[in-house]
Amino acid sequence: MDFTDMIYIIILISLSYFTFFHLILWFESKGRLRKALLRNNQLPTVSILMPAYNEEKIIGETLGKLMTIGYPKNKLEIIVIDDGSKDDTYKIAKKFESENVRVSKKKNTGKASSLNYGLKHAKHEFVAVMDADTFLDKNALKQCMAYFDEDNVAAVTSHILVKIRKTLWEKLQHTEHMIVSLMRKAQEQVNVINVTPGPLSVYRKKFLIKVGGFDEKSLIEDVEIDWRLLRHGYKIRMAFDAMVYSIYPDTFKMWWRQRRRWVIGGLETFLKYFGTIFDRKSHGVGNWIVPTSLIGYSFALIGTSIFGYLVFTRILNYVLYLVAAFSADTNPFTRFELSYNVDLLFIYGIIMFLISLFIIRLSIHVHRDRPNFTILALFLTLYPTLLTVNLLISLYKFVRMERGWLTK
Amino acid sequence: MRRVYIQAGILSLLVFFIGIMIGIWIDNTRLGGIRSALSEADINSYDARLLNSYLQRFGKEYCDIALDQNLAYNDKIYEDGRKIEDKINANIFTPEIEQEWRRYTLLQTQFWLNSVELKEKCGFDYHTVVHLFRQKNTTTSEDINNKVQASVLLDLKDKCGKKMMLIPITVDTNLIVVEAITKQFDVSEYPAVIVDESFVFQGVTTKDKLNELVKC
Repeated sequence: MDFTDMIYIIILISLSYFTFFHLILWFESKGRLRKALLRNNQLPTVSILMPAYNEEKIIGETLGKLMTIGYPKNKLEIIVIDDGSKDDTYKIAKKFESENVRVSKKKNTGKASSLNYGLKHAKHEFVAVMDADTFLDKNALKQCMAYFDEDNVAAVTSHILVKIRKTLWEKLQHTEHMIVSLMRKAQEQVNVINVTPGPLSVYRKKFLIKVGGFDEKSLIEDVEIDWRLLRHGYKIRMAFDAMVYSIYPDTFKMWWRQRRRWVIGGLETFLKYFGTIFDRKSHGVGNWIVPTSLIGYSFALIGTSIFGYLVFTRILNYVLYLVAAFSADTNPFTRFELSYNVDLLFIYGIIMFLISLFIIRLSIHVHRDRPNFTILALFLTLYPTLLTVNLLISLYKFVRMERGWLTK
Repeated sequence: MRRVYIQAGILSLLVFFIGIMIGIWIDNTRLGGIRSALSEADINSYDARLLNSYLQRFGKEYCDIALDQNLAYNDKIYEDGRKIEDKINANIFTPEIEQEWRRYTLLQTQFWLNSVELKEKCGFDYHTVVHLFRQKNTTTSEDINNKVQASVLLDLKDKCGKKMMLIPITVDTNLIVVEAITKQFDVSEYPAVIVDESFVFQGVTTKDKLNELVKC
């Protein structure tokens, strides 16, 4: 066994640890997946903040749906913040304006800034942040509110799935979201949920204000605010029964671009909180999220670098062999044969593959979805490869401080 | 919740040990396969040696049988050698597999000497071509040269058929007999080729050079 084999085995053992950690927590949380809904008179007042930028195609439908959710109108306030759209977003949203729907327009300053603007104008005790292309199940908001049953719960995330699943990318992201939802519920058990996603997350306003609101410099304000709340010792919960459906990139180009923004934003957040590593006072951020992010980034970098090096040297050696063989007047292809001797890495690869299959099977079962074997095969092979390549390219861009393209 | 961290650790270690156990099982299976292949070769080699002794004592009527046997054995040498080499590289839990490789090298050496003896006794005119190479701690360039040399020699064997015995011998096996061969033929650079126990080439030997000596 050489050095590279050892590295891969360490990576695989760490991966299995991470996987088992989530699986154990998931099975422990299984009995607590649903909470009884609060009665209407027990429900608190909520301000929904909906930032929107060039959303004319969808915002009408989103608002229309939002009007029908099962939350008492007198306890609900909807604030649409048009972040300087160049299309008819503002005009369309304006049509929905009523006693509890307010529509504001401001200069284009980004999502986090729009959320802070909304936060400033929100009247109620809780603020729900939702995207303009997200559709809530009738009781999703009610279900989220049931999880604020402890005073130090600062935020509750919802169960997000992909609304339209027509293209390959949408289907792959849907599979990913099914698995992520299980992981997030598992993370709740040890209070290490690492994102309060934009499609729908509800916050206790006073805590949000206390920690300083959303970071306007962050590319992924939903991750940054989550880490900040956790660092301050607050709890973040997940309402597994609060189903929310959002629109996700339907083309490879859009998907690629979004992931690069997420990766660069993630790296910025990681560096911002790096100082909290192993700091007990930073709670889940210092004890788990930052260390596991560090391990994840390092392994992705080391693993793919070694893999790339091995592939490169093998190809180079083969080319050199071909050149040498032709120079010696012998045909190198006459004796070419494919053979492989199973080694320890292969065995681990198979074990990890079987564990992955089990997790996918579990998430499909929980979501009562139907398995599509082509999508599953691509999800296990193409998708992680693309994610890794995306991570490496984004890392490179990040090191070169190329950030401007993300907001263009 | 410390319990969860520990449980996850235990499960990961369990998976690690399951991997190790499967690895050991596969390695042992491979080792068993090599051992059984070598036992077969061992018997064939012993058979050939006895046949040689028999010829010395009782005459040359059995020369053709001995040649056929040698050729049949020779046909399998390269193929088996490459397979064993791949398996040795994959096995990490059974270091004794290296001993099998040494046993294999001894069989090849024995086969070479046997072929020389048979040629002399029976008056055959086939050529013996020995491919000497190193297996451990080689540079990329030496590995490539070894493969190219093997390919050149196999081409020659394809062309010559019964007129040539091709014998691969690994030199870094810590065997006295192999050391004696390299000293006697003064070989210091690998791969090397010895033709008819008289001509020694070091580095990659081209087809043209070999064709000048190996006429078939």
